[in-house]
Amino acid sequence: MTTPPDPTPGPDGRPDFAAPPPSITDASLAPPPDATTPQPLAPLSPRVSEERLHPLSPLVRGWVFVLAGGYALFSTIIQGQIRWEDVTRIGSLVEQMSGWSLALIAALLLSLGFGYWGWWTTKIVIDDNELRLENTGAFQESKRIAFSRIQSVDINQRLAARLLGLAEVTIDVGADAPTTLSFLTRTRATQMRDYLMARAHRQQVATSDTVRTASAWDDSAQGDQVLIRLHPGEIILGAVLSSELPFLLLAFLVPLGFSIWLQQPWIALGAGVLPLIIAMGGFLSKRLVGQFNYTLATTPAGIRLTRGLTTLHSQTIPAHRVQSVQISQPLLWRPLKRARLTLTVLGLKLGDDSQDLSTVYLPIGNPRQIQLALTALWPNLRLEDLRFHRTPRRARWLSPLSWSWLGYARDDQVLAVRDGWFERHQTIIPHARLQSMQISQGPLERRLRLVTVVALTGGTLTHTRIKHLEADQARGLAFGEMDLAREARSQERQAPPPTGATWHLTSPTAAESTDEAHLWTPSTSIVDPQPPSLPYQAPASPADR
Amino acid sequence: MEPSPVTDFVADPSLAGVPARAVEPFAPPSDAWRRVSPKLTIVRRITSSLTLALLFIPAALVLWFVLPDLRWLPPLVLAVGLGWWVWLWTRARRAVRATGWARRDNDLCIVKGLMFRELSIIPFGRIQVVRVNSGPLLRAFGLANVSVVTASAAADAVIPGLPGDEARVLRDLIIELSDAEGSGL
Repeated sequence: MTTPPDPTPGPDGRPDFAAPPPSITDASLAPPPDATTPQPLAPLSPRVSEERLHPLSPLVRGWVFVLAGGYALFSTIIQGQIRWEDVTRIGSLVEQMSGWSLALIAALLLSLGFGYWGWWTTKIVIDDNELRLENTGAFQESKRIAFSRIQSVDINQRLAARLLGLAEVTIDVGADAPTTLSFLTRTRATQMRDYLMARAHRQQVATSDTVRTASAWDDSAQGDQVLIRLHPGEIILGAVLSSELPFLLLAFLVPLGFSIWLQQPWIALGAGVLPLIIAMGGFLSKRLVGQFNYTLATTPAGIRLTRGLTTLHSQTIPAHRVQSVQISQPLLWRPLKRARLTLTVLGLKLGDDSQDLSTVYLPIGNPRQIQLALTALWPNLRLEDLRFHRTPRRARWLSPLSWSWLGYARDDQVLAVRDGWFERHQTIIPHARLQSMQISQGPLERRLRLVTVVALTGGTLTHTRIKHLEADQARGLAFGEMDLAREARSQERQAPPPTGATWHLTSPTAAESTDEAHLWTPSTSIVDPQPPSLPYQAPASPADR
Repeated sequence: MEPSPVTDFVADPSLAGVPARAVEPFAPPSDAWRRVSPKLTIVRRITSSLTLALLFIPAALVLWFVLPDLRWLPPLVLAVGLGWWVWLWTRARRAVRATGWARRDNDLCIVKGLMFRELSIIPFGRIQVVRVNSGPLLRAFGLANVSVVTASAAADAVIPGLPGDEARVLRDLIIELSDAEGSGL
């Protein structure tokens, strides 16, 4: 499904954001090998572009009411209550109408008027450093989004918008509620997304470089490389075997048991079977509709996730904004060797996958797809190369079921932590994203001379526990990890991470060779009570006292 | 590295004999923990006594008069309050002595807790906000709390009950060092 990177900037009627520097015209799609060296950037003229949202926006926003009003009008015409000749005698017609319908029409027109006033007074201004959303209506408001603060840019197309070729752009800056531009034409939305993401990656590009027409089906465009496309059967399989469904079944077994006990079959039908069928159908269809045609692709703008049958969600995340990724495997998925990937990006709330902004990175995938999805984030990471350190045997007293699974591994880029027994987890944290580390010890652990290390990344409630380590192991891990984090961060500052544009999966054969491999190929095996090679005591200079 | 303003601090004399490389999980990262002020013990005891006097005793009295049928309830409330107060009173000194901070190169290390011990390592570059605050009681003893805020909500930490001067010096040190590094989320 790979389309060759073929930038053919078509003629664009709209004003440009910035003067296209000719030297980097194709920088976003086919970068030179030394992309990190500063390009001779043409001094950008302080050109500012202004535009409005699409004129159909107010109508699409209230599309339910518009549809209802249209339907009411249509049906009255069909039923012959209003004939076309009546339109000329509208005065007498109004007299015939009842008061409430007049009020309804007035409210509709008023809200539409307000909608259009809001549309007229709202302007999107893009200059060299920021995007501004300026509203000069009843309330003056100017919202500024600096390009360097952008965490992710998403395109959502609700059904009504999708049919009209419109899309809304959601810009997430991490802290505040995300800003939504609704609606733009699909082409314009794609263009703006690509531009914003390129600027978020600290690249200087002109938007005309990124004129790409995105498909209405899955938002793919030229220059995208589709890595994974999920089959609907896989999604259904994942939903049926998920951890939620057994609990759902259990919840409805209770009234069933009651009905058998009371010998009243109608209780079983009314309170057990029918709601169960409805709930299960709802659960499955929500999953299927929400995750239909799940596509993971690398694009010039970053990693793009696209999903949805009716509403098309398209989420683009810069790889270096990912705080952590969790591979998790519910119990029932274990024989199938399937697993799920969840990621943490600042601003994305933990939530279910039906929401606009989702933390699901890959709803279900086989080992090869998991490896591929992780390679898209960290090109050098190979799951089978990680060597997991086991915790001391006496930790079995505290975690009898998960002891054989517990452990941690690290390479030059990431820290990987294993946890869980019913649902197995493996959390992968890049060193550069670590916020801080903690060493903690409860009374039971103290008795067994064990300590737990907690790795904290950005956001709320994102702490990963590395349980039950030896004291020196824990200290070596915690302090060493802070040094690695500092080093990784300074490296990142010197050489900004490559974007999806500079990175293309060079050898897909290497990833395919892991087809036979089990997802958790390296077992948690290394028991090393020796202190790791990293010095846990930094040479203290006299000034550091 | 430029000389930091904490150079003139002396190491905690009570921990002078502790070997640096002891495989004690909560050993200080550099030379010694800088313990918080022992006066914090008194502050904590006063706080818990006030809570007992203003919360548990009035609650027990109100329950005694409002619910005459449940005569066993007020003594229970009082017993729970007293037990809690005794527990805090007896452990206050040790809890305060277990709290401290230290600097390890470019990290701020904070140790705390008696039953559940915890050692946080926070890089100065990751600290976004430093706050020095003290209530009326703390101020009466010349103490202040230093709290740091990072991008990770779970990693926010407080060093309670530092002497006022030390709190201000620590604040300036954190600000100086966090400027040098820059965060980079």
